[in-house]
Amino acid sequence: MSMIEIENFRLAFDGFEGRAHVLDGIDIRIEAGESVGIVGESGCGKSVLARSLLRLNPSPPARVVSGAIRFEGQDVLAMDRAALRRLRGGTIGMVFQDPVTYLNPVFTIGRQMEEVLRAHEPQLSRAARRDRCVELLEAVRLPQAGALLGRYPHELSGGMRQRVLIAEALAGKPRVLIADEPTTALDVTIQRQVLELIADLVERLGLTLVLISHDLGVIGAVCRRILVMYAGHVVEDAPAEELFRAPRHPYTRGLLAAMPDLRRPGHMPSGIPGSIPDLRTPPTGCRFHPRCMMAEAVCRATKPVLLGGDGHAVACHMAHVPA
Amino acid sequence: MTPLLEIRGVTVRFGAAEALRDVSLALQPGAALGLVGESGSGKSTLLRVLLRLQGVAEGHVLMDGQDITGQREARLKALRRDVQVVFQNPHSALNPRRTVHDSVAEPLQIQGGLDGRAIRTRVSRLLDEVGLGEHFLWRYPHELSGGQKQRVCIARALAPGPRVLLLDEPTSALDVSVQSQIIELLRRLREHHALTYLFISHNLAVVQLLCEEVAVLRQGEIVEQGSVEQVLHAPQHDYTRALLSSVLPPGAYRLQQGQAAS
Repeated sequence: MSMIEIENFRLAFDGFEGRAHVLDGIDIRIEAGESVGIVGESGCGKSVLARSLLRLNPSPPARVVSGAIRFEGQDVLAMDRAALRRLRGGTIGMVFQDPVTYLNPVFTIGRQMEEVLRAHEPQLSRAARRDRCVELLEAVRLPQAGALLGRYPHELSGGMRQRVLIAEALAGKPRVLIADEPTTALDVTIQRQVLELIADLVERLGLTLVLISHDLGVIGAVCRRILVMYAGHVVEDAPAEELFRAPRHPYTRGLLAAMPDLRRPGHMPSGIPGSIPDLRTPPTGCRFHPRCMMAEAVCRATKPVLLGGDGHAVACHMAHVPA
Repeated sequence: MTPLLEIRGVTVRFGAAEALRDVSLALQPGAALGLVGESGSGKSTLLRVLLRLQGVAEGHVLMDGQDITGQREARLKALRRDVQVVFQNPHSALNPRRTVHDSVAEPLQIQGGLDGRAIRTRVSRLLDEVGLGEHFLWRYPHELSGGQKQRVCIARALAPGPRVLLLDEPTSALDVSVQSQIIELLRRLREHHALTYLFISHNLAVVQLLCEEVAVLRQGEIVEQGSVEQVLHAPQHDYTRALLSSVLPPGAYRLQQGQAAS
């Protein structure tokens, strides 16, 4: 039994102008202790997928069409409120993109952290709660943790706020950490520090990590396994080194070729022609085919299956054809 | 050569805080100057100073060698025509109730001298130049992707026939697969129109693709300035080094605590 099992998961959003098929047959298994990165461009479904693991997509408009999500064998989609509460923050902690919007501006850091702790460990005394808060802030390497508890969010920098949110995500002693674009709102120097912190916490606490990002540089810096998503499909699943060294899906190759690289002056990255499809009327077969240089009749007709026995799987009819 | 745009010894204060401290920067005709720095470093304030949208406590703003620091708005016609801006977020830079044609036509209407038919022809040609076909003319922003919107913003900036484009993080809100298309477009336009660029970005790899010179701004001061090769590949200032060591290249390697310092 894997820690996280997602099986043929389909999720749609119902809107006025039709139903958008946002996740279309996702199959992923994540083992305990793995650090998995999910990469893709806007609208590929990576955040929706991360939220699905905790059933955080509001319904309506979200609607599970089919499939299953299991956490250590337990059916997440069938959980009652009490079980969901234990799952959210208790077994799986989550960090989001914008640290400003996830902290309440009118309460001190201490008060917000205590609220989280009260939910997870109601039996703790006031003094013990405070000690735990200090401990958590120290774990995310915030100096003068005691004094920080009396501060308001606006008195903290963006990097400090994100550290506070990571501390809150750790408050319930989770075994899994999901981080959805945790550094996208931060400056590059701060981004690096926060990623180092996440990598360090994962190692020290033995966490299983799911890191969502649009930036392959961010994913490559932290994760050992990378899933590439496009338009609601997982198109490639490979060990990090493999993916960068020998990408098999034309979209992955396109993404890598589009990234500017400071180490290669004079090298002009190439874009991927076209733009992402409207998921209310997704392309037939492989959803990438309208933008793919290699597409043939079979790509338009049949959805490719994620295949690969060597730990490097790809969903592409043309994967065997040399690029 | 007389710089096209220049600021000399500019200091800007917001209350007690100094957003820019004694900053001098010259934009030579035909140059592509990258301005890098993190949030709060003063990049946007500097841009606003160049556009005379932000007053200065000390120092001067010059255009073609002429001091325009205290010039009244009515006498800034040349500045308003010759210096155009492309902003970071194309989703908020276009009026959602206007068609692509109307957004791009507005600067032409303000300039005057063209009738409706001539304006339409000109708008079509501008769209063509940024890689958008005739069929985009009557579309509304919500019908366009992020990259297409940014192309419309660039067409609008080109409409008055400017000499300088101030590009404020024009690709930061876009996906990487679209980012390279926009960079390519900006490179081509610069060649065709002999444009001068001031390119503001936090992404050093993108600056390298578009610029020959770089200035590094930190807490309101320029800490390093020089050619792209010098600044990005043989940095002198500690802050520039810190910035460069924070860039995560596309590749797999594990970050270790404290590794950035080494």
